[in-house]
Amino acid sequence: MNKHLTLEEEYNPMTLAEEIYSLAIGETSGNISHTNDVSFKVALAGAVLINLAIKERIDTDLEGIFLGTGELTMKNDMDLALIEIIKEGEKKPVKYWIQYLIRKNDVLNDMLLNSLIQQGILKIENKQVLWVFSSRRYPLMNNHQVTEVKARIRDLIFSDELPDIRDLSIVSVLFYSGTLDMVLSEDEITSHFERIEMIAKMDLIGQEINKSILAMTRPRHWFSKIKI
Amino acid sequence: MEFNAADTVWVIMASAMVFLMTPAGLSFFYGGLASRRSVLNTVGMSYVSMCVATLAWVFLGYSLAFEDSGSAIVGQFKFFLSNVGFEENTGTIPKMLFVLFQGVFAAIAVAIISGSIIERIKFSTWIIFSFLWIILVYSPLVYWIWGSGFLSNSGELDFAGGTVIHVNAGVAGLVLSLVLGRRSLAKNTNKASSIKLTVLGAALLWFGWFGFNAGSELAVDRITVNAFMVTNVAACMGGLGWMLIEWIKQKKLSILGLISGVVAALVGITPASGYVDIYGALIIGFTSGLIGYSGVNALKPLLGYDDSLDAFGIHGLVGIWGTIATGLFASPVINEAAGVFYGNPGQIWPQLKSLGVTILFSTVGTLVVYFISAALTKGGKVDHLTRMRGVDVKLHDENAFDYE
Repeated sequence: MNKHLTLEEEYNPMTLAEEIYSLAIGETSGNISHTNDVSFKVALAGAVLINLAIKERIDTDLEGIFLGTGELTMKNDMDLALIEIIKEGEKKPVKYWIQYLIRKNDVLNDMLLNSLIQQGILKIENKQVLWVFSSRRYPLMNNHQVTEVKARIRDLIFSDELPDIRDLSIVSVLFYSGTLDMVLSEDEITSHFERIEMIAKMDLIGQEINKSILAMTRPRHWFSKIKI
Repeated sequence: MEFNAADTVWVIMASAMVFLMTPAGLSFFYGGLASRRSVLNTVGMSYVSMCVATLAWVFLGYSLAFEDSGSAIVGQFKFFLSNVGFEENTGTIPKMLFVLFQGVFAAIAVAIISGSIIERIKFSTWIIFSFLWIILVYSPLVYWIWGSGFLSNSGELDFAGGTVIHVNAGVAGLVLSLVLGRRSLAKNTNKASSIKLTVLGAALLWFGWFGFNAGSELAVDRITVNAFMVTNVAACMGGLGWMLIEWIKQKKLSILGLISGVVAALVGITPASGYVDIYGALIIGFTSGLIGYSGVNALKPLLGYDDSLDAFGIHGLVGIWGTIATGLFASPVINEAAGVFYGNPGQIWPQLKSLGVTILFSTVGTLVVYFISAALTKGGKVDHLTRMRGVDVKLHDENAFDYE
């Protein structure tokens, strides 16, 4: 077992990006929203890279991303980036790879949707995406009950428990990309801000990636370049 | 004309009433609707608008807006009221009082815009924006329509500022909300911090609106009294109109709906208040409530813009309707001018022409002013971490509900 993985990780075969993508699917209607929103695209791209870092396929430093073990993950979303990183060879800034994945957003979305269908979490009926179960739930995975991501993240934030690597990575990606309101109301975010920020800052593996996510989702102050 | 003490006293009172609309009425109305993390920032935006707009008005705004320069585009460039003589009159009131009365109008115009963009604009950007918007957008538009500009003789009927104030501010709000983008991915996650504060704000607005509309006659006469009366009647109809459609559509009668209908109708009757009779007021008030409801509950979700507190839905859209309705329902018995339903079908054209110019100019002017303000403050947008933490705490180090 990978040293970073907890039991939860071992029993939950979903990737971080798949869990974040599932947040964009309506509770009952099955409508997929937010997928054209820049901050959501950045969140998905960041999740893919952090997932690769957790699995030690890549590593990051101040200058960018470099190859770790380089072994394919057999998960389409992660391998979409990993194959390209292997091909590229030389170290590139995190921002470069996030932008690469944003350009591939349509492909990435299709991969995530298909994967969730294959895992029996979603189904398509009359061209509509629906949850297999009547409400947002995951089926048993490896004979182990996995709590779905929204409930897990909410429980984590409203408690004092220490997060596992999967959940803290998801919280930090959502926090830095400005998409946490898919899980919590804005009032809940504000009243639990310290706790959320503390969890987000615990993500040391994704630290450099989260810095880039934040930089890319913050308002661009191109005005500051104007000399007045 | 000769100085008249009664007229002067009335306009002084009306100025005080209109003044109250911004730092109390509008700021409570908006503040109560804002979420608990941004109440003070929202209130502060209205409050600071009062300060900044008043200074912009005496600095140059008034002169650009009302002092005839011979040009069709802009008034005189005279600073700090150097062209306002101590002994001079405007009509039967001192000219200085006219400057004061129009100054409080300018302040509320820019404060209305804040309702579209709360939690999204830096306070420093907003201060600069307010100042520049008064000078570069509001004052020229006032000159065109109420001063000596190219629309001043077009025949448009706008008694108290339907186009100049409400359409102008509403459109500016929409433009800014589009430029600043949505606050969040999720919809309707913001809970109003205090509806009762909003109710109080609406009551203060309603009270102040009597000064706004009836004061615009700048004298005490029968038109003043009519304006007061139709303003009140329209407001009552607007509240009931909004409630009725809310009941039909959602099977609920919300107090927020009631007071929103009142405010919508006050906006709708503003340009018409010096021209329509009771029947006109009943129709304009009721339809303003319906249009306000549709703007807030149908158009906004349909188009997906984040007009936070519905400055466009209520002031912009209903302001447009009020301007058109004035051209329809103006009664020659009240103020000589006749609308379409009183045998003057041509009255609709100057109304539409002024609307077109206002919408176009407000859109372009607001964009230019925003980009200048954002450049001067190194970016105008509040980032999402600040918003999540709460703009009250993060930007002002204060908290409206500090009783935990």
